[in-house]
Amino acid sequence: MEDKILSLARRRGADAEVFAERTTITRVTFQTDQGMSVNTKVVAGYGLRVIHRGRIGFAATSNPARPELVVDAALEACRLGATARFEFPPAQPLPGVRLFNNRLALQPVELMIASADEIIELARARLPGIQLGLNLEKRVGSLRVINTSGLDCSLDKTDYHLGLVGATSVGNRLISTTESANLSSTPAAARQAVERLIGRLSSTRQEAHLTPGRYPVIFAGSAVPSLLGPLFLALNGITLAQGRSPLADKEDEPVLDHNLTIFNDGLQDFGLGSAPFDGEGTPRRRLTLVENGVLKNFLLDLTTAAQTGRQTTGCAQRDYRNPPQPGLSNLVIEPGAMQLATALANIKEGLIVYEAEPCPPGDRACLETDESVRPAPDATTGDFVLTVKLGLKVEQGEFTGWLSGPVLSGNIFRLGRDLVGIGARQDDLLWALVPFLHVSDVAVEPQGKE
Amino acid sequence: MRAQLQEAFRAIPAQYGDVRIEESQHTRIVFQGRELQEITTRFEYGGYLRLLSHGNWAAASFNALEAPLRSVATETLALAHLLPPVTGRTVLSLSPARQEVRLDPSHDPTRVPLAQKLELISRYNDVLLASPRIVTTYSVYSDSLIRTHFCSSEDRYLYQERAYAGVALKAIAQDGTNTQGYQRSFSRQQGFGSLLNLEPEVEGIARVASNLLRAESVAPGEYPAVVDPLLAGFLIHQAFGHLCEADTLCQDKQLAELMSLGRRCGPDQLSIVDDGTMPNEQGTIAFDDEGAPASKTFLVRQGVLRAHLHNRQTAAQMGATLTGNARAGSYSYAPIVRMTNTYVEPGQALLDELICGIHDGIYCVGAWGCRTERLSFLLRAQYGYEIKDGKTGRTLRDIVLTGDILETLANITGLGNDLQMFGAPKGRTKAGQALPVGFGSPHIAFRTIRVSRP
Repeated sequence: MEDKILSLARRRGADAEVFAERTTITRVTFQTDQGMSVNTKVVAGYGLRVIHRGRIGFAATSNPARPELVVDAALEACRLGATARFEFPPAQPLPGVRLFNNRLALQPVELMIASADEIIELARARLPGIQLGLNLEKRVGSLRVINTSGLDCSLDKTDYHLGLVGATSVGNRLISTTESANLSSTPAAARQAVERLIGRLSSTRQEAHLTPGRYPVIFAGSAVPSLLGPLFLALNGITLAQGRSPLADKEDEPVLDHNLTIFNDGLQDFGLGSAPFDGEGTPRRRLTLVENGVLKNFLLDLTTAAQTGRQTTGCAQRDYRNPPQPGLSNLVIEPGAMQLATALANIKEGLIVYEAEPCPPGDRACLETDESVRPAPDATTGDFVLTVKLGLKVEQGEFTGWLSGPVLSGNIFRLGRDLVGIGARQDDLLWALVPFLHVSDVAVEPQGKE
Repeated sequence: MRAQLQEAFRAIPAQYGDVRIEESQHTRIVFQGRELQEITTRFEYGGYLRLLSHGNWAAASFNALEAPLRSVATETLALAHLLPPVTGRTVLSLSPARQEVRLDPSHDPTRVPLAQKLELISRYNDVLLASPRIVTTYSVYSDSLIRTHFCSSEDRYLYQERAYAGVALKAIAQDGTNTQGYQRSFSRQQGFGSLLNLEPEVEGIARVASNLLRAESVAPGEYPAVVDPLLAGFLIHQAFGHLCEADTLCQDKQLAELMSLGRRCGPDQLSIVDDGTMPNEQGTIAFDDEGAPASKTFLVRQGVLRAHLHNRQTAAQMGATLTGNARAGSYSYAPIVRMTNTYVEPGQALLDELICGIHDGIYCVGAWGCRTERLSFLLRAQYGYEIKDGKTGRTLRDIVLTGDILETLANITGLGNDLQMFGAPKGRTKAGQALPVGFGSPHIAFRTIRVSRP
């Protein structure tokens, strides 16, 4: 089908690129009071970009019956669309990365159900009365990118991962937390995820409050991507091309604490975001974004590379429904040397944050859904404003109560002077390997300042 | 198509089964500042088949059908039988039916040339950018045409066409380091023509954003307040409506007790409705995604909680009647309990009457977003005005309303006579599914409401 679409576009005089995706998803889900269910999902679709008379257009389809419709639509969008600033690239040598586990691909559903049962029984045994949500998901899929410059690359991939939501009542509140595990190469990761979930829910039965002030904060690995949101926005090629990145022209300059080294690693074996090529067929690599605090690279695709006078860094992310945009594939932050017990012991009064959302609902709410789905952090300054969704108050090294709602603020480019330590162990968030960050001084306000 | 769908369930030994086949076309055009960021057309085709057997659900979603639908049903049944039987789980049934609901052709956005859509959103974007102190914008045009075939094992076949068209516009004003924004969206099931001639409203968006540069931050406290229809409707949808969704109540026993039928939620003058039958509103449907007809449900009548919103399973579980609220974001999702068009019934008061009774209060306008946890809410208004001695005065910003929704509703002192309905182009999200919904309210006056700053 993708060859047919490409051929139709070429016959209409256009340069073209087709992104073809086909994935079969098998999902076992469970919720307390709802029981277990099983479903399968086949996703198959095609995204077409065309360049014609200096302009670029895009259309997509999951309807194989009428390929000419998507070609017509892409050419119409092209006629009205933006100036094309690049050409579709030819084939290039691709790196090796392990993506397909044949045993996993053939794993029967019965085994997934048995695994789910084991996980549920373990969680219930460890914390009777827990309200549990489980999502065990296996994906077997293929991608192919072809273009009229001769590029033709494809891959087959398997993923197997677990998502857990656990909740328990504390007073009138429902405290819930999440955990995830990549089971593609480490089946034992499921048990470890359960233990972490239960351990967190069992930390305390109290609620805690904080008076406004400045406190030491441990951002658990799960909260670090939210904290560093302004950084990733500043590194994004779209922000750079719009002239809004505070990191423009700062390559090879120190921009963060010298202990921080950050990669976008598209070549992790069995990584959720791994692939030998990006969404435009550019070879992926383990891209160093920041090395010992020094800026090394931006997240760029063909469009933003052309707009900023740079080369693509192989960071085009997409599915068939959307044209590519620069983004992270697998985020990796190098671990440090600090043990969590040491970090906690150093805190007289502070908090550890497990889950945080950028901003209270506000300025940059997602316009189209009328809700603050992912309010954007301020790319022009690096300021962050995070609402704690789940945290624990720490006093004299002990957990003394749950926290939800306090607002933390600061600036990620000034974190350097306050970064006390980086965790020695990385948390696996499926798409990221991230250690905790211990920051000595963060402004904390209660939810809704009085 | 009907015969093919009906064949899927013939002699399948399941308690219940249904299938949706959906064909749709979507257009999206995005400007950020002066730059055309995106112009996209997307064609989708797919289906979702689910079966309940021995008390277990199993489902399959697909794009192209590579095997007969009956084979998909047989394989899905086998998945359900892998799970240990569950007693007592059942769904309410409906009678056999044949019905087709077709679109008013004048509402079909695929009949409008792409160039015309681009010209419209480009023009509105230019209006925003032409305003003083507006430094950037985010302007989106989007439309969808959706055709859905539904068939259940009860021999209930339904065909429904829906079309949505909307614009969402945001202006960012800047003066030195002071940056303020304001946004509005306009979306109903009324076709492309309903989006024409909005220049006065678009100019208003830019004007508000610019005026907010001179606004002062609100002083936190507890105030008598009037809230505008958009903010009130948004609050009711987010902080109250979701609490009435029975699938949430089935999973949270404590919440179910707090939201038990018969409890008082507000004064006698308060009635809150969910109505999927309203003509042309964003959440309007003929049937939900389990084949139940849309209905008008009084969630609250004369201040008392009268009903929850149900799907077939929750209605069976809770001994309730179907309300037509089982909705799926697209063919690749199972239907869950969702609102349609949710609003507060109007009263008799004029806005001036609501305001003139307030000595020292606040008039809050628009909503950025809302965060909720059970009955607690935190909602940010887009802006407001102080009310002094019965008159509006200084413009205020950074207004966050917090509280317990039932306590807040109990504080209602007046309802305006000016019901307005709203909808956002892509709708709202629950469990990761974005869905078009409508929400609305008249102006509402509160004896007191807690105001803080972000």
